[in-house]
Amino acid sequence: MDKDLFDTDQTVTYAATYGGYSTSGVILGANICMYAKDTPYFCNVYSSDFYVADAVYQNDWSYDTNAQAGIFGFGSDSPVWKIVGQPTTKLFDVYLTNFNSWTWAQTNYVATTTGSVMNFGQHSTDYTSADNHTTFAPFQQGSYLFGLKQFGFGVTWANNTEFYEDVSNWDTDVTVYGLAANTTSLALDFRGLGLPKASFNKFANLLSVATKGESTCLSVKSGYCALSQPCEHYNSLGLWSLDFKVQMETSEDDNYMRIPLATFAANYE
Amino acid sequence: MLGGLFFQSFYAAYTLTQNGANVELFVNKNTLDSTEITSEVRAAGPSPFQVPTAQIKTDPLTEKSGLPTFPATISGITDSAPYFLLDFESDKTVVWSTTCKTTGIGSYPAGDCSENPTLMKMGFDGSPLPTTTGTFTDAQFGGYVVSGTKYTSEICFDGFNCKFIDVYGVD
Repeated sequence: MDKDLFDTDQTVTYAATYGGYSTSGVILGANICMYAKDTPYFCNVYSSDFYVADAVYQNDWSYDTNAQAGIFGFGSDSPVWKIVGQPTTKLFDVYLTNFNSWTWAQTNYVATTTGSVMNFGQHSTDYTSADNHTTFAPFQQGSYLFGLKQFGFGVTWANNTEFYEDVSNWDTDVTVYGLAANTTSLALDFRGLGLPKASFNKFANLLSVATKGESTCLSVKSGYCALSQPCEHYNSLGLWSLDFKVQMETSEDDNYMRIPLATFAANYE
Repeated sequence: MLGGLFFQSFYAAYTLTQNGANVELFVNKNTLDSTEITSEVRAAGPSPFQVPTAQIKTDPLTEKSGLPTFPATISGITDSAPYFLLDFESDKTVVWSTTCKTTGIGSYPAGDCSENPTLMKMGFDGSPLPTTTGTFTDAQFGGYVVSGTKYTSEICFDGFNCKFIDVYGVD
């Protein structure tokens, strides 16, 4: 990045962790413009702080994965909210389309919407409170981690019975996960499903059994599981009927989610 | 952590206030039919995680009495019908490369691995070349002391039972 473009005091430095990267550098200021539907210039009229990393010490989330040009911070104190008038109650949503061409998991699959959007200042009207939903909040004030009541991997059969193995993380050692052992974050700056080591290893074992030994999982930082055949091959074997049963810690409802395993699978590109 | 792919299946509506964040998740209109949000309590069904059994057959064309061989395919071997010995005491799989040379063993001079005293089928020609993961020297497999290159390669028995494994290509 060419820092000469910005009128700023480059003596202000920082050291912090963002999106799994431990970094340090300088704090600069500039106007921020984003691409927005039907709004050619969706910009902040004020100079906003942003952090320019000069050094990276850790890469915990996306090891060996493209990090793009940076990470926009859209938290509640982000200057991004000045773009929409710094409202007291800040609304936004994440409404994505399909990325991995799911016809290999469901032959008649067709995506309903073709593009992915985030609405700022409002929620999409495609979803209403009458639709099944689950509502929850961070497990601690000021945190972005959400508590989990259930986290299982298994199947709901066509006869409406179910079987799920618990893959929760019970490592409450204060030097490792502590109170955050059974929590999750929702992150757009991470691609797939990130699991603690014990949960990953148990999932890897279950996947290996389900695929008759064809899966190979690497239990390392940014580890992943690979199958020896394309995704299409496993549809007839019933692999894509497996899902994760996830119930968030909430007093708002008793609902749980069934997240298809296919959500986190894709053919090698 | 539920990353970007998760949002293919669920629509997330955030509300941030001075008191904190609130998230509502809905089934995304773009998702698979099996995706759901429900409170339904279901009866227990059978486990989908049944440990399978596999029957690996010997190769009647190449086995010798008391020394069975097993047909399998490995990425990196062009030969359409390679066959292998099997070692219960090793965790690693070794193959003889087409450029494999001995260093001179016993009374035999150095030469191709296909010659005495090793008489190996030198089939690993790297076509298609699997991912290289390093080299090895002075490793012992079934009484052979060997060196060469490590690969990540796909092995299949009987055209199925396929898996990616580390393969040691002996040079």
